[in-house]
Amino acid sequence: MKSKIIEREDLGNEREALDLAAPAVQTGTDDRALKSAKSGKSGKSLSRIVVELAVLLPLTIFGLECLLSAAGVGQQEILQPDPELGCVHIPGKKVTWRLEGFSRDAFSSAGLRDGEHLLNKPKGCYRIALLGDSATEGLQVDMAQTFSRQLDGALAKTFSKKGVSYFEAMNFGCSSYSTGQELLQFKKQVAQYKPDLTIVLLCYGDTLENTLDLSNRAHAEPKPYFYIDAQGKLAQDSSVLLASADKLVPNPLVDFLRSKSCLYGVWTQLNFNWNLTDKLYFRSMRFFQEVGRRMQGKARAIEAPVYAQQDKLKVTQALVTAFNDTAKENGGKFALTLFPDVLAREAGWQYDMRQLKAQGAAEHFDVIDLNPPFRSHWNPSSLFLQYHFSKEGHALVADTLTQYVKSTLADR
Amino acid sequence: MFFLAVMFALYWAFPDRHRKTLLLIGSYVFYMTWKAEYGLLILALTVINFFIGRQIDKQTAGEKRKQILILGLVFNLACLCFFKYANFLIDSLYQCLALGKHVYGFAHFSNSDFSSPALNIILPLGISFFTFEFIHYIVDVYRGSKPVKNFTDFALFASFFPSQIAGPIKRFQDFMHQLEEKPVFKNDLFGEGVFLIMQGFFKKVVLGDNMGAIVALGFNHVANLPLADAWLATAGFTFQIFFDFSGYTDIGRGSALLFGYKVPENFNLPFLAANLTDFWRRWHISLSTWLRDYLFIPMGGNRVAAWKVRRNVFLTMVLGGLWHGAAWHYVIWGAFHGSGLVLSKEWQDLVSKNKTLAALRPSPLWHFSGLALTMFFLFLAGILFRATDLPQALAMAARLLGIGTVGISGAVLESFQRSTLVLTLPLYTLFVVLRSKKAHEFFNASSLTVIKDVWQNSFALRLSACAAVAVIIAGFAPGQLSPFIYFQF
Repeated sequence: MKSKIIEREDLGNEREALDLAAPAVQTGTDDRALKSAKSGKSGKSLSRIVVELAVLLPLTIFGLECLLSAAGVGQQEILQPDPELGCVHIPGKKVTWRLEGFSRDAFSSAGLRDGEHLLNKPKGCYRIALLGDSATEGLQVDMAQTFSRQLDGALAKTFSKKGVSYFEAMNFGCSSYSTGQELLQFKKQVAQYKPDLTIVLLCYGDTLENTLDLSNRAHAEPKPYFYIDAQGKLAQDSSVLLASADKLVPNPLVDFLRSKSCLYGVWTQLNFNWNLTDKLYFRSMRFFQEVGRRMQGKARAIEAPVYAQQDKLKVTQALVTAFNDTAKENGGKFALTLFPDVLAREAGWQYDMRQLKAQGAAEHFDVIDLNPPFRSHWNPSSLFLQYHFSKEGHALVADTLTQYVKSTLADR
Repeated sequence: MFFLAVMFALYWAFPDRHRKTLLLIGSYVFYMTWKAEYGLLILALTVINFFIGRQIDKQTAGEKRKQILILGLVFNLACLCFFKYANFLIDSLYQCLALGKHVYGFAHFSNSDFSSPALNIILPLGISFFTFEFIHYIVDVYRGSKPVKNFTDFALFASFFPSQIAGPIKRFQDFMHQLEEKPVFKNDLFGEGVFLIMQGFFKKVVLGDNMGAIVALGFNHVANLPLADAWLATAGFTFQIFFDFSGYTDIGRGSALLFGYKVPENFNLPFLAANLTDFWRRWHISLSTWLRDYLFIPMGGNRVAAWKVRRNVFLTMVLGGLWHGAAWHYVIWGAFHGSGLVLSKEWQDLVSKNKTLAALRPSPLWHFSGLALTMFFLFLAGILFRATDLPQALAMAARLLGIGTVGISGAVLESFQRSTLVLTLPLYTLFVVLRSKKAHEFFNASSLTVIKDVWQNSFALRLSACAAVAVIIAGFAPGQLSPFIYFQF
């Protein structure tokens, strides 16, 4: 039955096509006249399409921006290039995070995953600056559930100390940061807020990312790296940053799109996914980027410092020492928090933690070990999503830090 | 999509006489990019079935024709069984032996005798679909249809890439008829094809995959699932599989239209079915009609005693379940649907005999009760389909009843509320409603005509709409795309 219907439909179309051709043959229309009529028609229709597109394109873009914004799609872009730190949060950016967990809020005007804070510390305020990577940033949970916000709330409710009228916990956490970047961030941004206590959450990955893998310099992520020089002093390797300087300079149009456009966010997300999953796409993009760079003649030789392959832990320890000194010079106290390894699977991290605790004792800074509270929790798996803290995990970190701040102030 | 675009450009750039050959080569390339050696399997099956079809047609003696048909059926089913069911059969046999040991204490077997020796067989993609097409072909030739004379045409029927992996299961009479015609590029077919592809991707990526993530969250944590989460995960799967499979069918049908071919429809608003019989007329239509024509009717169909009709329905559905996958939960899923169909039939008989019930039948309440009951049945059946094994299915069924649940709602409901589905599901529902016949009747015909005219006359509008839908699909896609569910069959 179906085949018969198809047959009839197709025959109908065929007949229609033949009928349309018939008058031209029967009336003997002049070919040239027909051609000029056709070209006139096609010219008109082309200009009509262009005019219609000129009207429809902005409408479509506007409609899409509204829809994507309402759905929180294309709002996962959180970083913009920075010539000193490699990247920083986009100030005031509305973010809808779905990669792991969920959150939907906006960065502050200073680019913090936090509410607004005054630059000048009010009298009687005890400021706690929390630095770290994505674990501190906490995009996987609502802002109110991050340990920074919970610490703020818990201290305000439960504790009052002579000379302290209120507490302010500030979340400076930023995805992808390692200890070296956090130290630079402290000098560039955090120090201005004059924190009384600076707590850095250190993860295993940080110790690996502070130094440059010398065999992979050409493909290294553009950010500051650190090393111990021949005199045994901590030094900064900015060669990768300088080599990518052209990518890190502000571009008003791109910065605007990155900050405001969901469509741009969709594109960057697609580009990222395709680069990860499609080898052909990845190689093509690399090829075109290389061609573009050569055509612009921007390939320039950067003088890179020469040093041996580094002991990653030693570099991290040197950075922590520098952090402790800098925080003290800024009039505050420094403390290090160690990311928990609940199942004790990371032998390297277990060793590093022991060394960092010993360093804390020797250099007189506090080390807050999150392992005991996490391991003694009745359901440790509920404290994490995939890699990051769940809301329960953030609550436990906040609880541990609250106890620490209480004891610190009680000793004061 | 890249392959489709290249094939489309080449197809219409090639001269008429080479287009079928190009499509055939393209279909084999498409299949062999997955596993090259299995291209030879389709080729071998195609050659043998082509030959069997011709032999059946050549024979005048009924007995001889029947013998060749049986030979062909055994050959096709043996192939399917070997690739799809060998490990299942071996595993089931060993489980029976293990049970025997447990019950009867076969002392001479050691425990190690019962570890099933799985064969290293990779299931060829789409084997269930193209085997059914071959069976349909030889049976129809036996029943009197003219066999295909041109081998290229037959090979293209079997390997046509838009329907190669997961159907729809084509009928060779329809397809050959289209192959005989000279392919002509038609704007309306092209437009319809692009529309279907877009719709298919929207269903699959925006709705199906996002729903799949929520369903997976429920089924992966079935041990301590709250009540609302259990219901949401279960209901979600019924919709996920619809969006996934009907999305694939739309993409396949749309791709076929780009080359000027029509393949059969597979879905017709299945969730509007008010009873199970109606559901199977609307769901996976190409499979249900195949099962009807080549299983149910040869078993006697409706023209036998009432109890035999019920038996035939039940057995057809059990085998339909087994066709889906080589696992016991699929068999039980089929049996569950078979039992449902038998009960539905009994109920319909009862209603037609009872005057009070028959009088209630035309009422809207009756209709909506039927819709709700059918949906409820589908949710339960979905558990058997989605679960990785029987214990998981039983655990999920228990959570639905509130047994062993932890609280009322949890991560699954939270995840749904935060997903883009809260926006895209109503949008899709609105789209379906606006495209329905009733909506056309409801709205003022003249204003609809105006909209239709604007749409048809403005290329720029159609282009903008296509671009917008493409952006929506890309933007609303979850981080990780999952393969089509029916690719595993």
